[in-house]
Amino acid sequence: MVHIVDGVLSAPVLITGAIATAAAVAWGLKTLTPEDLPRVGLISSALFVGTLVHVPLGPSNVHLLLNGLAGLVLGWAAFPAILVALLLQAVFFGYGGVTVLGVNTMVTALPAVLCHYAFRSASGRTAPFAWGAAAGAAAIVLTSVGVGVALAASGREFLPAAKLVVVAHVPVMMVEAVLTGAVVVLLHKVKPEALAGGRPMAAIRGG
Amino acid sequence: MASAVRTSAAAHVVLILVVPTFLVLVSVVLVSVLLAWASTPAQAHRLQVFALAQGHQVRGYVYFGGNVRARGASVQVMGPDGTILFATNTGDDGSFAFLAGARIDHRIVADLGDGHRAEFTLPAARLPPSLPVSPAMATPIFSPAGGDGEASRQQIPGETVDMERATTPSLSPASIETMIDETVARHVAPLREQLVAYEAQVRWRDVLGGIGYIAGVVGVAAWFLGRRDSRGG
Repeated sequence: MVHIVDGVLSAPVLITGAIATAAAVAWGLKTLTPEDLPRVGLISSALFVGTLVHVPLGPSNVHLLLNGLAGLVLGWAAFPAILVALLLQAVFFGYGGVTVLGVNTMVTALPAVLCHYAFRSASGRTAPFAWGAAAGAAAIVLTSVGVGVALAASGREFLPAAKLVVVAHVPVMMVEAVLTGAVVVLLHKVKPEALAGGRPMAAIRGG
Repeated sequence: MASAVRTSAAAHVVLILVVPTFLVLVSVVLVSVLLAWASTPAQAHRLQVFALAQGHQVRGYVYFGGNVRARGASVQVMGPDGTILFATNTGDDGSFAFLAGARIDHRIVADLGDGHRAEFTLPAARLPPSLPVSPAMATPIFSPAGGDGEASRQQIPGETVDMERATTPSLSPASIETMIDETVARHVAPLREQLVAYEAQVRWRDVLGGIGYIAGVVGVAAWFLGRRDSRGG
């Protein structure tokens, strides 16, 4: 659902998405150090493969997105990670498209970054599963709304399109909430600095 | 002093190469487990259209890979110049059908309204030569599979064989050719569907290839970042 294909969106939307994504990816790359890279690659691989797992519940055909998890672990570096994963999916599987890569990356990675900022401060106070699940579900909601916005900006009516996408993703929200919550619990026990408040990369570096 | 710096730089590079490789191997194992659990070559995310001509009847369906049909998808049929010849919505089984009015390329576009869109072009050569060549509107046919369900079946002028199997078909060369066309199309249809499904499959090598590319990008980025750090300080 989130992989909008070539030929659906109008040119101004595609160009805006491409420029905004390029800027965000550049920013994400700026924050990287060599020690962060394995984690970025791992998350990118997980997203790349995660879309192959489709959720058979519900009337429509949707798949896991894992962008909530990506945002929690990577912060702004989620942009390059998601860009690479989406590009490879477009090239290898034909999901989404290349002209629409900028828009797809923006609607997937921006919610990830927003969840990162929204939930990082919760790590000390609430149960890890709760805020992990909330982040997972929130990322899906924001992404679905983002797809609706992109479609509306290309001339479709916003409410029907957004409703269609959001409703179709309700099963995914549930599955991702559970999955993200579980992973957050695991990371919290095993490697809490991956989810540290503030910039996780800075925490690893010890700076 | 200098040798100590060189050794630590070398160790740094080795670390950057070894750790991602190890993590990629771990990912591959996890991917294997995950795909085994998912148990389908789940290419089930790409919308596709398939259509087949039997005589001047065109039948088709809209589906996601893995043969999950798309219900209520909007289908538009356009001629080579973009004029809309026919528009409908798919039935419960994702199917649609129409009668071609001319021997031209028919471009069939399915759209779900949420960013999913797929196209299929039915070449003019698949349609019977008895049709006119100048673009003409396509018409609906009675589709028992639950589509629009309009109109009774229609015939091309000059055809003497009913599309729905008349009781006593006449044996003119034209009708024999039509019967042969129909039979061949009927037998070729499953093959064609299989081919489309085969082409659309997501394969292990694609998954592993993608992960390999990610590992490569990580490695190159590590090299660049290592240079930037050592130069910038």
